[in-house]
Amino acid sequence: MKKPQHISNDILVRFLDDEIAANEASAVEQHLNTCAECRHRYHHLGGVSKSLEHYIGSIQIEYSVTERDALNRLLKTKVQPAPASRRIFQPAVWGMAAAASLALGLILAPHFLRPEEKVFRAAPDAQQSTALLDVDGETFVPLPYSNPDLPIQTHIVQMQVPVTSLADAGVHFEPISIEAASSDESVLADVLLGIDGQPLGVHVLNFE
Amino acid sequence: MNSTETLPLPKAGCVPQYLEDTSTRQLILELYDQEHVAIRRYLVFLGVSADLAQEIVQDAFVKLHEHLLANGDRGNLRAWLYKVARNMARNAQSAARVTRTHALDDSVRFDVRANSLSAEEELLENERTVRLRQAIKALSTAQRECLALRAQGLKYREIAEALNLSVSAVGENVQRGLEKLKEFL
Ligand SMILES: [Zn+2]
Repeated sequence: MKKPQHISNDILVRFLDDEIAANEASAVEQHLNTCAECRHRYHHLGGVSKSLEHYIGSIQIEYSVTERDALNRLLKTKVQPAPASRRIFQPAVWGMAAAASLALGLILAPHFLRPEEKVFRAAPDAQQSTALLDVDGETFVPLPYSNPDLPIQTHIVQMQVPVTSLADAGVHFEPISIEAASSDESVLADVLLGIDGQPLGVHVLNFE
Repeated sequence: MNSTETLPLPKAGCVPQYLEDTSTRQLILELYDQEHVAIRRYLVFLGVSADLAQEIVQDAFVKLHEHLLANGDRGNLRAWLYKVARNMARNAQSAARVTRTHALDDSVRFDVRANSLSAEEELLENERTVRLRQAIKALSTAQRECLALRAQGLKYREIAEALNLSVSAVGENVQRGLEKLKEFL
């Protein structure tokens, strides 16, 4: 244990990083002016910090200006989306619902398929299997509740989602078996909530 | 099953405003000029190969473009970039089942002249660099990641955002990480 009157490394490091309240900082400063031991520790930590910055800053990166040009060209080809309107919004939603049903079918199928009965299959007209939402690396099957044009927020809750409510959400499996439609079965899923509080997507974690 | 009518429609005020594309592109290129080398260094430091780091950074800026066009949060684009780059790196590494190669490998090249030191300082720094490599090996992954982002000038709040940690956890990782490095230097 260090003597209580000295400043802990925790506070010294936060002082060094300017991550400390102003009144706390002036107390640290005062102490450092009078205490050689803490001053030594402070400079040692600062030196280590500088060395690490130097170390990382010295990692050699080969770079050619053609990379920037390539990025610039790529960005130019990206067409900005048209503002959402009531008319074009609905078909877009149904496009997503169809994609969701396909993708959910893909995710759930291995769990549902039993040797003798193929209960769930993707809707035949579903096309866009790539329309998954990617939130910081986690993929979500889009749900039609939230406006997909709103910015995606990383608000994710884990919950048990009844299979029937997925069906209610417009995520259909064809043909839907009577057994599954009336069952209490649910899946553990990460649910992505939109900025409007509505479920925006679902990532099924397992099936019970 | 005509549930089309029950779907909530976007409220008038909620329709995102799309940005003029040229200015968005300019913003991205500015950020690219500022950050791309630093992000690549950060990835290489975490053990990503130089080639993959280049690819990831390029992809991350394309993703940033999409993020901005979709009217995504502009609050902290640097932290956002680091977060996305890191997640992409982890995806790529787990997908390819790449054995984690540490940044401490001798294959990572260092440019000791990068920070324009005097010959004497250079020699001293080289010595410290050797010891640092040893020290960095002793860090936990979280400590290494926090210290790497801190070295790029990110505030604890930004690091927390990029790594999905609390601000106090970031503070603790920084402190413990520096303490470990201090033992070696
Ligand atoms: Zn003291």
